[in-house]
Amino acid sequence: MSKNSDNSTEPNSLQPQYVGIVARFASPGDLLTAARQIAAAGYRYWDCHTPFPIHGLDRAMKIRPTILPWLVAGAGATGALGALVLQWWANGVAYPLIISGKPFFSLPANVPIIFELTVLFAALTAFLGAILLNGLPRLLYPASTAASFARVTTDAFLVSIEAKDPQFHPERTAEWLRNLGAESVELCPAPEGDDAIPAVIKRGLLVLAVLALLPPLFIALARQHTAETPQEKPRIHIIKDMDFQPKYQTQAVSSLFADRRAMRPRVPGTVPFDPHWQPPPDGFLTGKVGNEYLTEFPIPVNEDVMRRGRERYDIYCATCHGWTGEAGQYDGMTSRRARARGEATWVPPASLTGQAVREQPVGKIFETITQGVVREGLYSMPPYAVQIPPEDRWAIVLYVRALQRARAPYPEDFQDSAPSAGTATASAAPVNEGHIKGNLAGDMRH
Amino acid sequence: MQATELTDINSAVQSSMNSSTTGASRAPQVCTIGGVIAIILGFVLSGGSFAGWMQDYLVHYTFLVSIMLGALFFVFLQHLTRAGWSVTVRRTAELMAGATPTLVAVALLPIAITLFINGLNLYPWAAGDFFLHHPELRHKTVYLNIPFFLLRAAFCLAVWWWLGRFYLTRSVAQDTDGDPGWTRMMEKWSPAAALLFTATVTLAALDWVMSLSPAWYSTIFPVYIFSGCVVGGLAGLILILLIAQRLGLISRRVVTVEHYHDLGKLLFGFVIFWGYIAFSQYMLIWYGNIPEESQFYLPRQQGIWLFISLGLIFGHLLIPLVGMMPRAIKRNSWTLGFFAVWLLGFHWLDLYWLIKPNWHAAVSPLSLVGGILGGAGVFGIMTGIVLRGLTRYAPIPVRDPRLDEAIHHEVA
Amino acid sequence: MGSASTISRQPEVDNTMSDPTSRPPLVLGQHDFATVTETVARIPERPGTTLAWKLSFAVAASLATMFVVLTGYLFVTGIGIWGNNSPVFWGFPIVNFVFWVGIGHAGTLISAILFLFRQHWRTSINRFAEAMTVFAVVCAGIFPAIHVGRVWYVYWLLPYPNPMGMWPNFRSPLLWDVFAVGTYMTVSVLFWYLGMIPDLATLRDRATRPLPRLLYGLFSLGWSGSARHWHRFEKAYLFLAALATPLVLSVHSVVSFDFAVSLIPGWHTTIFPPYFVAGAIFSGFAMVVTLMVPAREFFGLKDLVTLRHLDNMNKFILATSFMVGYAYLIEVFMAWYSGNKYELFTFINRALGPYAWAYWTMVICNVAIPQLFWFKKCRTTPWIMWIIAIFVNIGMWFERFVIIVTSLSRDFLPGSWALYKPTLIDFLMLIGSFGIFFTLFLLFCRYLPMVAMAEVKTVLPQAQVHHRHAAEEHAPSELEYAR
Repeated sequence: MSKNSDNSTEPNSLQPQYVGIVARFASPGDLLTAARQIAAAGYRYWDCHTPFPIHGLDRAMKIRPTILPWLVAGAGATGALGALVLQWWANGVAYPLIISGKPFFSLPANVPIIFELTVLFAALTAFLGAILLNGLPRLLYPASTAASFARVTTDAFLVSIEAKDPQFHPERTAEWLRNLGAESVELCPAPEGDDAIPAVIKRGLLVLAVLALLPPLFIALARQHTAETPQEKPRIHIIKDMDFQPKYQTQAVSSLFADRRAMRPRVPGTVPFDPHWQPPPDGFLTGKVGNEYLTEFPIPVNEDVMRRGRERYDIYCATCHGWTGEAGQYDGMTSRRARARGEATWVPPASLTGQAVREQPVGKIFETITQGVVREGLYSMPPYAVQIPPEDRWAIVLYVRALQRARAPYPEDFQDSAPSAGTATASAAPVNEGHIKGNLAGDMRH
Repeated sequence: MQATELTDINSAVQSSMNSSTTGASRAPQVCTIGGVIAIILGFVLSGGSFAGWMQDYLVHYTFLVSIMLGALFFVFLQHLTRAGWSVTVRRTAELMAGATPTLVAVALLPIAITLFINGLNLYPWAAGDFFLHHPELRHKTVYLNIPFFLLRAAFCLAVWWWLGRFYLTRSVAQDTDGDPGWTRMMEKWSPAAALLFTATVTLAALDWVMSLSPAWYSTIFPVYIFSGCVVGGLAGLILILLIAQRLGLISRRVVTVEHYHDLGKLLFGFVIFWGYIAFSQYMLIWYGNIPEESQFYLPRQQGIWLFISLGLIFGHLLIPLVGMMPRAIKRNSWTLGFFAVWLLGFHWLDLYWLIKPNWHAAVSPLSLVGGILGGAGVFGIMTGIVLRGLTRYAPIPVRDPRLDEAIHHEVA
Repeated sequence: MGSASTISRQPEVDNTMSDPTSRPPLVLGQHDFATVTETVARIPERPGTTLAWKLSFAVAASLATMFVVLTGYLFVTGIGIWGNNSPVFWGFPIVNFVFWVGIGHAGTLISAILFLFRQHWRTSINRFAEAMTVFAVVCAGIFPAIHVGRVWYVYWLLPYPNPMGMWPNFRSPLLWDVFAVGTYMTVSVLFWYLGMIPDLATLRDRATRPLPRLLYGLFSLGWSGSARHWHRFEKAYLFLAALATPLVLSVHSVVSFDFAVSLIPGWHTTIFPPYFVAGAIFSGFAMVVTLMVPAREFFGLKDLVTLRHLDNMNKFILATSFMVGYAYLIEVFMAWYSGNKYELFTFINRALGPYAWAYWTMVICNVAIPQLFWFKKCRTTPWIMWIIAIFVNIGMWFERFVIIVTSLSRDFLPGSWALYKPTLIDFLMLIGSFGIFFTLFLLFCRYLPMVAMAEVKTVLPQAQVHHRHAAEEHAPSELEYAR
């Protein structure tokens, strides 16, 4: 059966157009028997084609077991490890958030996602592995031109032997296959055309590819702006996001009331909710008495207020002014991002520790926080009266004073036994300097 | 089914029986006596008080019951699904479920008797003054009282006795007359068996294990016990089959590597199921973090129990999960036998972990060794009973209509 | 019916007999490989569609369009158009989510678990059930996404590095849901598609018109039935089945965690994971029966989807009905046994409170009515099982309604109690989701192979080969079982 080993020239020169031979068998059982013998005969470039998997055929054909199990196991392990690391890093390190008293890194709560990602990775690998290891998608096979090949997905059980197999010989192999019990044997001529993708599909794919490039192109064009050529137009507001609500703004006009004021005055006889309420000290709410800015704090100044001021500052002010209140490269994230994006309407924050603000009285700083800063008819800094209660605004002013003093210390600050000022002054907060410096040192590290 | 082939199989079975009876005749006694000695030795090793012995006794008792129930589940599951592949291993499981209920019933007596003796009873609620000190649990007296407890226990034992005998005797009866009607009858009763099994496992789990801590509750607990039962039952079945084949009681032509492979897959599946149930219970209680639930896990996370808990995670789930995954492991009798022993051991440890910490007892490694020895003894006694049954009856259902299918079973 | 000319009514053949001495055939009629292909492939190959299909599609597509329009309305207006209120934040959207995701479980169960257990009867129905899974998960995925409110930020659920410097909270079961449902969707689609590749190749090889040939050809990836390809294909299919099996358990367990990790009475109970899984399988099988009974009649698939298949599925429904009933029972028992006043109140409130009608609908539909499946007559008569399956669908929807609404509307604090009343939009969106489901389903029936042809061929008697090595004995017996 395998005597025709030296046939590379003779048959191929006679009938060079043959790429292979296809034999059709009547039943899975016949195919299995034949496959066993073909494998035993030492053919190398051959295959069986069947409409459904035939149990034991792979062993009969001596197909090497696929490496797919190892790929799947590796992918599963990767998924498990990846999920563990992701969850540890995200919730344990990068963004620690206290949730229902659970530890940041809580293994029991991480198990579900570890499991899901293990399955996801392994399943994707099993699918893609099977497809790619099979060399799919594929257009042509050596047996493609055989007439019986069209029925292989219905009811044909085929053996195909390629012409490039050293033992292939058009007549002798055909005869041998017939002897193995083949119902019919056909020689396959070389397929017309090449096994390249048809032009229609190619053109279609090309058009799709070009079309797919358009949206990112438009987006890229629309985002062409730098610090030098800032974006002129505001963003498109597709999603209203509760930005425009049917409500009355403070001091707005309403046609409903005779006085046309949307805000209603207090009902006569209204009393404060807190029976122990006392009117605040002069200038507590505005930062000035008459037209004069306060130069001293209207609240008692102590370490608690300073700590509160630092906390509030870090929440409300540091996003723009930075942790140290210095302008420029120490700006907060918002400001840095706006500058990086070249936002046209962005006004960089003022330096809080610079000469100008250092010389402002505390009342002026308080008023700035309360009312914001208006430049050319627009708020360059919004008013914070709504978000921050007056006590906290004063605390922030206190902390700003501390930041300033850290930036421009007094000579006595450098002495070991710095005298602690007993009263609040207009230019410096009378608190423990070690505390302030410690804070600043901490802040500078941010 | 061809008649000629049937006689062929019968002769194969008979010949294997005859050739081996001399060698294996003393094996049942050896197993049983060895088991009793191991249990006594275990009690000696674990030392301590009578109360400690009773606690260990309860662990051993639930271990015995769980293996019996796992085998019973296996038997009626085969009939419920009209399985053909498992016919040749079914007789062994039938014996595990059908030859042991008497022992199970008798072995409950010490537990039942001590219920009436204050200070010796295992169950805190059985003490006369328990509900005086725990007024918040007083509504449970309706359920947790000695007469009702014994009534439920009697119901469970009766059901198991009846189910076990039912499947064993009908199957044995078929050995003589070969009437397919027996199979049809066993199949017809299998849904009822499933319902009775569910009810009794639930009652037994709640009564015998969960009520050891009367304030604690968990709705998944019976499912947890059930998953352990099946792991124990399948591991026990595999081990007894391996022993019986080594003794020559069951021909290697009828119980082949294919059957072990499938039993191994089932065991593997139920190991995962156990892990799933155990994790569900732990995670929900950990997440909820309310004292009346977490009181169960707190003592199990202290001292030596922390290591036993971690040991269960690895030994009862992760190591067999990875270890039993390859096909070759399940098809080799040594590796499969290893995992059967391993999982039986961890199933015992699981029950020990469920039961023992209820007394907040300090457990020394030596008493743990004694306990494991006792568990091995319990399994030895069961093996003895089953081996005796295998010599008394045909070791496989020789005239089951699906026997041929089982003999030619091949894992795809 | 417009299909009368193309579809001839087939008689029902009873192959549900229980005879231990022989295995009943899984495929009826005198089928060989070619006729199996013919039976299945002629459905997508039929040139025109029938009037009945067109009418059904028109109805389904209209409902689906209504759903899309309502979703647009929801985006523009906000979730105030639903009946969700202060204690009952979850309402219909989450009820519908759990309902659909539950239905989406039978497909993978039939395919994967029955595959692993070598239950050969699965081959006739697995494609159908897998398709149903994919479409049900599509419906399920919509509801939590639109329920987040600002749906345009739904991508925030995914962990990706972002300028906000924030990460999702991985300890939240709602995020587990994202991963579980996402993975389930992906794996279900892969499993469905991988199994369909050989059948798409069949349709490609039979196609006479260029467009179907091109499309089936594209999606069949050049499959040629090569034995070397089958080798890897079978391995991959086995892996997907082995992965999908625990995945099915995990997905509905994670859905149950959404409830059970909280402390809400009636939600925080440890049996929830297996109980939800059993309920999901229960509802999924009911939905398969609901769809299969008319489909096999209408598309002439009675030889392939036999009464035995339906009988088996109905037995599954009965078994899972018991599991669900067991969970109901043990929850009530434990509510009393635990001595937890809130827990006990919840169950009394469910049975006797303002939503008692929903509770008893659930119990009757899920536990009482499936008991009819004890009778063989009910398990094997298509119209009876269809009605019972419809009741199960209704009951399982109400189960989720009971769990969500009764527990939320009666919380620990009586001051925050409030009843939940769905709006018209709620009902329309529920109906619309069925429109989406049936639209996809009808398209599947029309254009894709509804039965896994290649797999059915493997269980035909002609496919059985004696593959043992020659040295082994007992040659002729294997063929006997297949016949």
